[in-house]
Amino acid sequence: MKNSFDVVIIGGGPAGIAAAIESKANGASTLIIERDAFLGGILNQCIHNGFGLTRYNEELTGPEYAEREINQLTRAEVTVYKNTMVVTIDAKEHRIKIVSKDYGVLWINYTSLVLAMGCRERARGSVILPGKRPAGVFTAGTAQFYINIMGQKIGNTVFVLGSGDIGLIMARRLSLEGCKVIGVAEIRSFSSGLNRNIAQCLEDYSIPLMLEHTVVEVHGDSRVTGVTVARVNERYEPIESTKAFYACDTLLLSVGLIPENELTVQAGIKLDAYTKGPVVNQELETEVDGVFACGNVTFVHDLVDYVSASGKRAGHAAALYALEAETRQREMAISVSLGSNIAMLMPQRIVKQNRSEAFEMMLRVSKRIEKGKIIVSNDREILYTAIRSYLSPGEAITLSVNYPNFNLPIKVNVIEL
Amino acid sequence: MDVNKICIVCPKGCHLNIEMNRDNAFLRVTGNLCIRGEQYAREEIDNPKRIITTTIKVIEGSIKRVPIKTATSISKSQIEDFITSATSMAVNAPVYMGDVLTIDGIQMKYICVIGRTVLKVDTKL
Ligand SMILES: Cc1cc2nc3c(=O)[nH]c(=O)nc-3n(C[C@H](O)[C@H](O)[C@H](O)COP(=O)(O)OP(=O)(O)OC[C@H]3O[C@@H](n4cnc5c(N)ncnc54)[C@H](O)[C@@H]3O)c2cc1C
Ligand code: SF4
Repeated sequence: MKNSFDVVIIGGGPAGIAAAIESKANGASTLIIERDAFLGGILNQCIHNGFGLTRYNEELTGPEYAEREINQLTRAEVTVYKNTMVVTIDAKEHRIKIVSKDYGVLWINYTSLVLAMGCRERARGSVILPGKRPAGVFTAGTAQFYINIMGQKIGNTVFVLGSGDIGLIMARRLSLEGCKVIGVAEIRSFSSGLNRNIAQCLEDYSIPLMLEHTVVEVHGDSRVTGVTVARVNERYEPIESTKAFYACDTLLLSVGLIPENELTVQAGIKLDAYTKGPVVNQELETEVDGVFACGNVTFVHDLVDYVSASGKRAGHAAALYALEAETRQREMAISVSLGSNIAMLMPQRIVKQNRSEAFEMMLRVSKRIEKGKIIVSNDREILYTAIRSYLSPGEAITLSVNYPNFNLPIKVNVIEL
Repeated sequence: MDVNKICIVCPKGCHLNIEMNRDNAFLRVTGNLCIRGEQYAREEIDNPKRIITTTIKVIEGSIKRVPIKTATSISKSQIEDFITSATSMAVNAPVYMGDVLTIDGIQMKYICVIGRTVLKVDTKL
């Protein structure tokens, strides 16, 4: 068995697959490692349609999108280890430790490494939820797995806390499966889900969306028997007089996703405080030489189409690095920082290069803005500016920014008009 | 009378304002960024339709359930019939992505497409 590759990719979701295909196409020997028995990542359980409109110009379901990607990977003849988990990254020695059903425990050497571990859901621990710990509390993604992959029923009467897309999609799925979904509570004054999901998942099934509401208590001993819901004030504190009890046997949590970065942290790769993913430059290289990152491990993307695009970019850079590693000199990076009304952005670093005129930047605003002016600049020049309407934290914005002529720190601002 | 709807045809999610005449028939729409939005608005008034996805049982497959979707969008009023009929449905592995399958409902026959290749248990991909 071969234990040394030009490019090794951790994670066989859409990001990792796209990275692998691109790396191989550039002539690098490529290995992709997936802990699950199947490639495709989280897409396998997302049976609703709406994927691939940008990439394939067609509306696909999650598994269909995944299978198309996997078929391309198969044709590219990339080496794939499934049922294999990466447990350690030794970035200094350019090697990783894997544990596998088929191969046992061993070390694999790489020239470039691509992190594509995806994201996971915030669980109950990350929302403050007083009350007992009865059965019947699920994250939306766990419920999605039970229902769509295992074919199990999770409850009869369901309340949903949080209005992220997965929660909205699961509210519809549960209704179709014959459950009664009595409401979705969202603490903010707007949903973080896409408008179309509010229309086709809630309105179609007459499920009320309760904005500025939260669950203040979970009732039940062995199984959930109900939740207490209250309206919140501007400081997100529950208003005592608005408390109401809703009987239900299941509580679904849909309170956001965070990049899966235990491995990254343990390898000493610096994380960004805002994206919660590794700090990367515009080529998606981390602060550690030869380690790249793509997909939801870097920034929770809205659409899988963009995840694939980011995988492709990282795969390209990783292959070039591997093939040019001997001659490469690492350049000084320019930092990019958050100005007004920005919640997070990526890349956080820019390195000068001659390959193209512009680089791609992704950001989320920190609040809803009717009309705003986006400005990317340093002290000497403006690199990007545009006026946009209806900016919302729920929708990531992608910009094509010009390379700076000066080695000065870059700042990004959104000014309300 | 006017109705406000979100166009669900693409992720842009345009805010549609649909004007109707006195017989509640479609008159015109504003707020759509493209022509598909107008078509959607018309249908929403006349006969709202959706593509529906669900899973059905696979016998002897490497996984237990296979995702399916209706080949074309079906009327909202048929959704329940479709889901109930699909619940009692099972297919034998192997099945391949793109395979067509007919589900007999009470209201009509539903043409569906298999959304994932499922080989027999223990076959290596
Ligand atoms: C529950 C849930 C539902 C979602 N639903 C939608 C949706 O409906 N629409 C949408 O556009 N987006 C959805 N998303 C976002 C979705 O994650 C992305 O669209 C896309 O799938 C991300 O691709 P990825 O390759 O970055 O990550 P993933 O698809 O998560 O793939 C990461 C892969 O890495 C593997 N992995 C992780 N750590 C290791 C390790 N140490 N060793 C080996 N393998 C490892 C995982 O098993 C997984 O297969 C959802 C996310 C979650 C968590
Ligand atoms: S009107 Fe066109 S652009 Fe707007 S959501 Fe519908 S399909 Fe998309």
